[in-house]
Amino acid sequence: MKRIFPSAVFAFLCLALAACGSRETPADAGAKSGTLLMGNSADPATLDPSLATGLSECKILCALFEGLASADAETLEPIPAAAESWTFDGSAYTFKIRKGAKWSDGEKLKASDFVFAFRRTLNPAIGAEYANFLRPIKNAKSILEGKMPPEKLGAEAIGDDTLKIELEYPCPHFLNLLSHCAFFPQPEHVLRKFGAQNRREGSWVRPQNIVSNGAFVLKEWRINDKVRVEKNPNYWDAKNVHLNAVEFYPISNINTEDRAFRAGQLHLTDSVSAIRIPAIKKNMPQCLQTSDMLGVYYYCLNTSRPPLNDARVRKALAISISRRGIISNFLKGGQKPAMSFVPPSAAKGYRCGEQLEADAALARKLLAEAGYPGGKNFPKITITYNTSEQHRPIAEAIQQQWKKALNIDVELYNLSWPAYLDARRQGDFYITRASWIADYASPENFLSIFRSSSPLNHAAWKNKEFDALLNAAKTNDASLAISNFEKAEETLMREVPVIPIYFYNRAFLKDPRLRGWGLNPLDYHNYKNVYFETEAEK
Amino acid sequence: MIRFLLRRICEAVPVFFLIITAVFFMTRFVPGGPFDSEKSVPPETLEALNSYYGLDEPLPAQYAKFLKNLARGELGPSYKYHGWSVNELICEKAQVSLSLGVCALVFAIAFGLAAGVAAAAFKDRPFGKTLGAVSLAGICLPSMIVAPLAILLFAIKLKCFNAMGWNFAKDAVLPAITLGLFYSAWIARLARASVAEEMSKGYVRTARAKGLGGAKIYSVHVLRNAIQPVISYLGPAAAGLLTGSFVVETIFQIPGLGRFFISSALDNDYTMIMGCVILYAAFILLFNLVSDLALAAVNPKIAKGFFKK
Repeated sequence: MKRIFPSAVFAFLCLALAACGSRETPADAGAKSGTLLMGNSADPATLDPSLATGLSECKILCALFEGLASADAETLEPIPAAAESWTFDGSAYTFKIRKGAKWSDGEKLKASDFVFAFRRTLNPAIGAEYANFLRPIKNAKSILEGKMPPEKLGAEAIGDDTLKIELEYPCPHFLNLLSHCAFFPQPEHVLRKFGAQNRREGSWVRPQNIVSNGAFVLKEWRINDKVRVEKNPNYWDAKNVHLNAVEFYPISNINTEDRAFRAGQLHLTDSVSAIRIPAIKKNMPQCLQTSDMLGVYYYCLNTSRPPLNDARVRKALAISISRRGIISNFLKGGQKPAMSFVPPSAAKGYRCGEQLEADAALARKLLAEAGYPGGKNFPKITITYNTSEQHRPIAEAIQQQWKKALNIDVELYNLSWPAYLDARRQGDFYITRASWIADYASPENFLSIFRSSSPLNHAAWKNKEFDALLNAAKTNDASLAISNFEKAEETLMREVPVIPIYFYNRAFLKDPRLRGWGLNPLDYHNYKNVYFETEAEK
Repeated sequence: MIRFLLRRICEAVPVFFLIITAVFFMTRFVPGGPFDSEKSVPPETLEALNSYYGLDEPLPAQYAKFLKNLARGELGPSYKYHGWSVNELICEKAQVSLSLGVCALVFAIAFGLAAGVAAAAFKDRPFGKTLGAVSLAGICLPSMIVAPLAILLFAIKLKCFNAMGWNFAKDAVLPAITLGLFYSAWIARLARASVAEEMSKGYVRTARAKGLGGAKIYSVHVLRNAIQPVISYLGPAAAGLLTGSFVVETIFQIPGLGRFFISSALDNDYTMIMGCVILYAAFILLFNLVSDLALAAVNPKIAKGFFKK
């Protein structure tokens, strides 16, 4: 016994170490075979373009399907995709479907496949959460509300190769919408086979059944494990698709993803922890990538509850926060402070004239004018946030900053994610943390949250001038639209139903061998023109 | 024996029924619903979703429907994973968790018992004391610390294992050891204490006096008695190990069931929560029964007590 036990331990260790040594990692093998291994923050809940909602699903769908237009990987400008060209007459777009565009089963891609997909997404029976995206199309709203049959939709196939889309109202960013999943075509012949044409039937998107028109086809989909797509030989532009396959790993834990990258199991991570950035800058600076994101982290104020029903109080709260302090002490990821609500990169040349610069003296003056000099008699209010290691320190910092600058007491209240969403929807809060990540590049995507009629307007803030400016921005004149958006945001920032804190950015790790991976604020990619640099090319 | 078994099964049925009823209503009373999202869902869409999944019916009707489906072995569609049924997901993921759990359990029992017995046998020597300290460390070190350290050493530095995934047999090594470490440490401590206690008893002295060798005394006499607390502990431990671990599965990115326990509750995926609870409850009841039977098998006194009742 005395001798057997230590020898057994020794034998076990020898056996374990025998397997060690230098070996070809999955990332090395992938770079040779043209297989991109990438982290995808969450598991796709569906791969049905009508039903997809999350960014993790859209990333996969953009490999599988292609809309009428796609977006440039750097500038996000619309570029021809399934449609080779289009014309606009002021109220309707006419798209020419690309000659030679096919489904992955070899069937011809027809204009009617788009009409079918749009009608299906708008069908109330499907319960498509992103059906709202199709609202600029004529009659879409009435169909979605069940007041009109889907056949009345203002999208019409003229023969197999021409698609006409009439607009309900002028929508200058309509072409930007076309690269979103909600606008992807769907193979009518396949959906009918599985009875999914007017039902939430999911079997048609399983790997053995799905037919798609993008650069890749679905080969494997294992929940919580991985999604593998392989090059589609029937894709019209297959010669510009350099990758042979892409594997998406739904890694929800940021540290797991980081370790997988370092162990050579990934070429790309979805994100990287801010705490790790200094070490990465030191040890593997060639792998670190950062880009701006179209997203804002903010505090929403319940304007129906005193004392937050007074715009002076709201403004005082907004200008007594040190955003730079929060970023440098807690976030540490190089985010930009948000002095207004819409990120400047939402549209070219966009800038809001009203900025919420920190000014403690003015804040104290405003609070005194509102009847709370030196914070006296200020009612106890709360900050509600969902339980997270990221939200808590920010809320604590703001709590301290308000105490110091305004001498007011604020309580912190954390809730689980579903309870937090419920509290927000019921208006059961004073101040709640929130965030908005844009689906397409337009200030409209941010500002329409605060329309009087918006279900997302949890601040319960109603302003006729603001609504009128947003309506006036529905014009085909892009520069007029931008100027109206700027004026609308200035109104928003004067009234302060919302306190913007910082604009999101994105840091992630990329294998230096990977080329052609564009950086854009929507993290949109269609995986064309992406390739691995081989040893010979170096 | 059969009467004992039947009685235990009859006791288990109402317990099982109570658990699923309580969980069914508790999930419904949690604020929010399965289709909540940061980007608000239009009311007409929400209506369509609720009607598709039968959530617009009154709660008693939903409960009756749930029981009817359960009787047929159907747990319904997952609310989160559109187009996937809970049965399908649980079957697929339980296999992964089960394989990992079995590896971890084998490691825990083998390593734990060996370390426990050795620690007792050499309890007054440095080797035995070191083993005792190691097992205490095993209990104190949570898997969320051991797992990243193991990955750092074996996957990133030495490159002998993968840092994540579940594709090859060797992908089970690090997770199984990490998962089993805590249990093996407990087993080692339980075994050490009970072996030490048994060793001081008269029958061991008698066996020695008869001239039996150390190995025979341990394997034939001491272990048989000393293993009883370990067996009682193994019942719930096996249920915990075999149904997956959220922490280990998340750190090693293993597509098992453990992650569903937490994620389904956070997503308000009612059917998936029920599926996980049913499985876990069934495992707990089953393994408690198995550990009772195993205890009866090693100790005729216990068997007598059980079967008399």
